[in-house]
Amino acid sequence: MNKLDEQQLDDQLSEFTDSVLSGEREKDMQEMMAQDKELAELQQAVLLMKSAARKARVSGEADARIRRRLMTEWKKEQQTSKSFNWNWNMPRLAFAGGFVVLILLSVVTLLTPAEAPLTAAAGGDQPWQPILITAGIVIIVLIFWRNRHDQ
Amino acid sequence: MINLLKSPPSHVPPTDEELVHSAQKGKQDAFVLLYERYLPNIMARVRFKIPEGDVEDVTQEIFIAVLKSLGGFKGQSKFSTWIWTITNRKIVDYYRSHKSNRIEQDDYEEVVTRNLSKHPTSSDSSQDDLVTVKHALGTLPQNYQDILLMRFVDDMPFNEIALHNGQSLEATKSLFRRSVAALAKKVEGTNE
Repeated sequence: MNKLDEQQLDDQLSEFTDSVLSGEREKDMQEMMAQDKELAELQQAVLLMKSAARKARVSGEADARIRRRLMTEWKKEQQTSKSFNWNWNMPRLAFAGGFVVLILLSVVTLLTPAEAPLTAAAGGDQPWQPILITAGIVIIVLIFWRNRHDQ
Repeated sequence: MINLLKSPPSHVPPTDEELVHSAQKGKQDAFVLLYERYLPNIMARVRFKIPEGDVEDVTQEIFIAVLKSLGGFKGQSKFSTWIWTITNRKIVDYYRSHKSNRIEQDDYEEVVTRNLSKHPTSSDSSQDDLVTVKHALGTLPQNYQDILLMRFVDDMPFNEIALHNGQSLEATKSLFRRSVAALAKKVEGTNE
């Protein structure tokens, strides 16, 4: 067989396969079957492969079992996702709140004159420090409390 | 099925990417649609590669892997390519986990062929075509198996297969014809 013949065979078999897989009727397929023995054998193999592939897809009972298991896994995944938010987002918020308080305290401390001792501030000269600490603690507690009630 | 996406009035089915996006947001219906869309082809591919007794388990593992990894899917490749990769990885894992075969990853294909030849698919007479083809297919070279599965199981047109394999369309059609010829010869040998 020369090169051109091989290419013709390739094209004709590909065209036949496309027609078979596009769902053309069996009757039309019979008309498309080649007279050439070699091509006809290849066409028969294509029809066999198509039939096998179709049978390999069918499995209603397996579908039902896999679907059930997947839905269970889906629910688990959704719960894990919520848990993930609780585990990560809430501590992050609490940490961020605490960090803000710390920054505020640092700023206040830096702005406090050196001769003014901290004990004095706590005693009434700069009364915002204990207020800020208390506010920070309250914010953190509120974040946790609210989140627990959202669950 | 519930129309969970904002589809245009022409009832165009949602694309894979739309379904993935909805599933990532927690829409169960979207994931079910993806499952229904891909189950037939995935199961067929697994059935052609793995002994019948384990087909359901491996198919299930593939979809569970898809479910668990879905959040990380960023759409950098087509969803079909992504799920195809997971499928092939699970098939490799299957053969790797069967320690008794004592195989390395590189030669797992050889074991696929050996196992498929040893294990008939089914004794059901209505499955004769499938049994015959699966057995014959398992004895073909890997590139022949791949192109036949891509065209008949994955429904990939020839131009997509060419693109996937990095070949010209002519070379792809030629490989396909040689694969079909090899299959026909094996089937004929089986029937004799």
